[in-house]
Amino acid sequence: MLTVLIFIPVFGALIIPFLRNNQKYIKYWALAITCFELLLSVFMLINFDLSKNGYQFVENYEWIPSLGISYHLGVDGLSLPLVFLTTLLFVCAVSISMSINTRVAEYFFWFLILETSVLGVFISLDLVLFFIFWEIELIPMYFIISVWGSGRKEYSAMKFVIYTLFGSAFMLVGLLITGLSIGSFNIEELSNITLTADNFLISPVYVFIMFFVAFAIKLPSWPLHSWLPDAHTDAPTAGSVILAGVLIKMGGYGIIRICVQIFQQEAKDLSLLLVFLGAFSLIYGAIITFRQTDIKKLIAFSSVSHMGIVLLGISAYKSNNPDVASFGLEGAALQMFTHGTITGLLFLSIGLIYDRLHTREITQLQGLVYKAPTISLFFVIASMASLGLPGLSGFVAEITVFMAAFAVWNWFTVISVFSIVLTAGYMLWLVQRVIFGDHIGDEKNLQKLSTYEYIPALLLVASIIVLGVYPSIIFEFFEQSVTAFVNNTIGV
Amino acid sequence: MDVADLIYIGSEIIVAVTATLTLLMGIFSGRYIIVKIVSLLGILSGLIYAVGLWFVSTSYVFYNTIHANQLSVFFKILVLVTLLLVITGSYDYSKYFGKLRVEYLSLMMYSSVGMMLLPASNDFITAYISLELIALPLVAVIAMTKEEYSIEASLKFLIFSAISSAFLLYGIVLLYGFSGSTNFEVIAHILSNTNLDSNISIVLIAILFILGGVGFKVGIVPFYMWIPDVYEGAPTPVVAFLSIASKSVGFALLIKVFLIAYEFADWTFTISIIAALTMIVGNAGALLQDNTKRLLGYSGIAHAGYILIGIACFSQIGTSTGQVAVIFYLLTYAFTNIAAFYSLMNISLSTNSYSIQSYSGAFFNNKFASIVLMISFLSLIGLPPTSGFLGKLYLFNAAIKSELIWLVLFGVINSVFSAYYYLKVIKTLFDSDIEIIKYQTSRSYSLNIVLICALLGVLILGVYPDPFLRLLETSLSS
Repeated sequence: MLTVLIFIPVFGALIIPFLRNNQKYIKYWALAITCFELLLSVFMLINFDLSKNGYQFVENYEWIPSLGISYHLGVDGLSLPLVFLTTLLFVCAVSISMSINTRVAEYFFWFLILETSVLGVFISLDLVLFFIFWEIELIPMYFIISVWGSGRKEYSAMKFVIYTLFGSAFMLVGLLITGLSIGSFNIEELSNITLTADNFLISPVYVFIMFFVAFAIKLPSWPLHSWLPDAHTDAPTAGSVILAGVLIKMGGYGIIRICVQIFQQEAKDLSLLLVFLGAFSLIYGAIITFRQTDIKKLIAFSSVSHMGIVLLGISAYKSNNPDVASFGLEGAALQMFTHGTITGLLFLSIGLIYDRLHTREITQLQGLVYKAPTISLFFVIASMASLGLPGLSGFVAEITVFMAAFAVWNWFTVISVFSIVLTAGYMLWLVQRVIFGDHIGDEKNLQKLSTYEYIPALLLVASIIVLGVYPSIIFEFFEQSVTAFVNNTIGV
Repeated sequence: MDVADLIYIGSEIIVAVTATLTLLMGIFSGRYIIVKIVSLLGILSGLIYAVGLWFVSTSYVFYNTIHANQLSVFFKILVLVTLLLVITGSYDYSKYFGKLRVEYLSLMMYSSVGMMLLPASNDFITAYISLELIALPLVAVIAMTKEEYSIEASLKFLIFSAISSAFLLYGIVLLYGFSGSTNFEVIAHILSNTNLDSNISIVLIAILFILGGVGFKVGIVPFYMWIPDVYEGAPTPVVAFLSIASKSVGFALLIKVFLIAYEFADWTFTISIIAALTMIVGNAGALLQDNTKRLLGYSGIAHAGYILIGIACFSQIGTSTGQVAVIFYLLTYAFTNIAAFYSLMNISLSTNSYSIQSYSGAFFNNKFASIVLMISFLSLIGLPPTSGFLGKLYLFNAAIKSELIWLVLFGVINSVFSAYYYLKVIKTLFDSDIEIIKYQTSRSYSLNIVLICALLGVLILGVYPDPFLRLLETSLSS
């Protein structure tokens, strides 16, 4: 089942060269593949047994026995929602790319390869396999940014690759040390073993840091975030949606799955580092946004800020109270999910604006509501969700994280909560400048949204509202994974 | 000597006879294609013979000067496969050789006879002669296009080979003076059973000289200077051959030498430092290159550095993990480099230039070669799912087992920086922002077949390496 899920996009990508450069067929084909993936992940969500602990849909075969590497896949309540998020956002990304007309075959080829690699990261249960998918993701993204991007696209693409590779260099060393010390690359097995300095080549703290560097770059956390604004700004719309929506979630997922679940003790010892980085990114990202003049860059920095919340939630794992610890991790996971949909929608609507007005400068966009009311509506919904308006999904995640974190880190949380004010400030200011105000220019009626642009926006809006009103629909999944883990490690 | 000993060097004999036959046919028969097919058949039968030899039991032959074991057979197969691919793919390139294209075939074969003998040699004299047999025909082949660059390259190669031989001989003489023998095993036996207190410096110097001599061949710091120039000037098929077969057997000799050397001293630190320097010199040099062949030359230096990591961990964990890592890396490197050089050549046959700019937009002219080039460069960076990734994984794994964590960190960070210049070339291939010059691409079936074979090698070793690894492990444990 999971094998099918991973490899269908590759199969689809390999078919593309045979479609004889017919743009229409290629587009429909890519859309069909991603829709199929979405259906598959929904099917898995429905068939997932919430009453059972541990991984489900597991597939485990030996791959390279001499190194102890296996082909081991499985999902639990933590990864399954992220798989769903991935497939959902890829449908959106492909759907809004229908208007692409340069080098169409390559474009969709790389998107499908990208989908495979991202899904692979979320569902592999073998460290080496995880690493392989983690690395494969770079190449498609490099091409997507550097060929179909705008502005200083080549510089940004290279920066993105070098930053991520730098992190994965550390991760490779870390995973080899882990694998050789314990004799297994199996993530499930490793999380059940208590790691001490005795059974490790070097102190596990260093290994934890090696992994953490890789994930913190991807997340991105201050001070390793500087690739993100460039990459986001210069990527094409669909690229930004995927980058913000899914790729940076790989970092958060990695921290929970590997840094916390495998290196439990170290995660507690170093949680001061996590909370500091989290709180700092949160405030820093929010302050930086005030100076941005490019909407995309502004949203990119707001991502840095929002990912700080993820770190904050994870740092609550230090607590001795299992409820608090699991609440923190669940909040972090929920924040990743909701940020994926919200930022996806934000970038999507910015992309729609850019397609019509060919500018992203805030000063040149005014009174958008008169010109393009529908896009404005989507944009406003997304920014309201982003600033944490109750009733929309962003609020639920933030409140969960802050509640959990406050129980452990009083002052850090008190400071962090101010970011809500800052976020509200820059988001409202942005909306006020871009959407409202006197409209300039004489273009009254911009091109209407096509079906392929409506559908992804509506999907995302629906998910934002549903999660805001009834979050436990996805919370149950996170609980399945996190509660058992926390109870095992902290004890009641 | 027993006549039956000859069976162990059967593939060498077959290839040498074919080489001579090729030369004669070149005089009497005018048809190049026939000569070429005969030589390919000769190499192929040598290859089949070598595969058969895999199942023959280990033995010392020719008065202990040759140790025929599975490892040596493995290198024979590697050399012959490389030669087969190189010669098959060079059909279109041979227009640059003019009238000398028959001599090109036979000299390449003579050189590969040396390459096949070297990993089997069990005696420094045999090893030395094999090395000379490798180098001298190559000197002639490098000059064969008769262009200024190519003659310069040939002269440089000649001089550096001579110097490296001098280094090697001096080291051999010192060892001989100490132990009274040139036989590897006798030397190892004497060294491990004598008290070396007062003489240790002589032996260390001898080993260092030998390391220098072989270091010239494989291109490690500080003996790498000839590589970029020779790679730039030499004909591309020869460069491919040089960078793969010559380097692989050089490492085979290095493995043998250091299996002895680790008996009496811990070389881990020295080798680690050399490895680190080699990596950094290779990668730093490649950053600034404008010519793809020079770039691959520097990248080859960097890769020699990675391979040295494997040799650095010989002493700590028993030798077999390090050896498997080195040999597997050489195997992956062989396919990757053939793919890289031949896809470069494929594109350059139409543009007549190897500068990076000349590749811009190559994808729109020659899709297949560009894709192969991209995959091979990704493999050189070490990105999955190509074989370059698993090769590196194996090396680093061995090094971490020997607790050389700093060296591994150094290696992986180096490969991050190497990504920059490889990606720059890949980006150029797919560049569509500039005006694309359309040109006629050469449709060469033989070249495309070679590219497909190399590509399959890169991908299969990257996705399903297990059978090869198991073969290697059994051959080393026997």
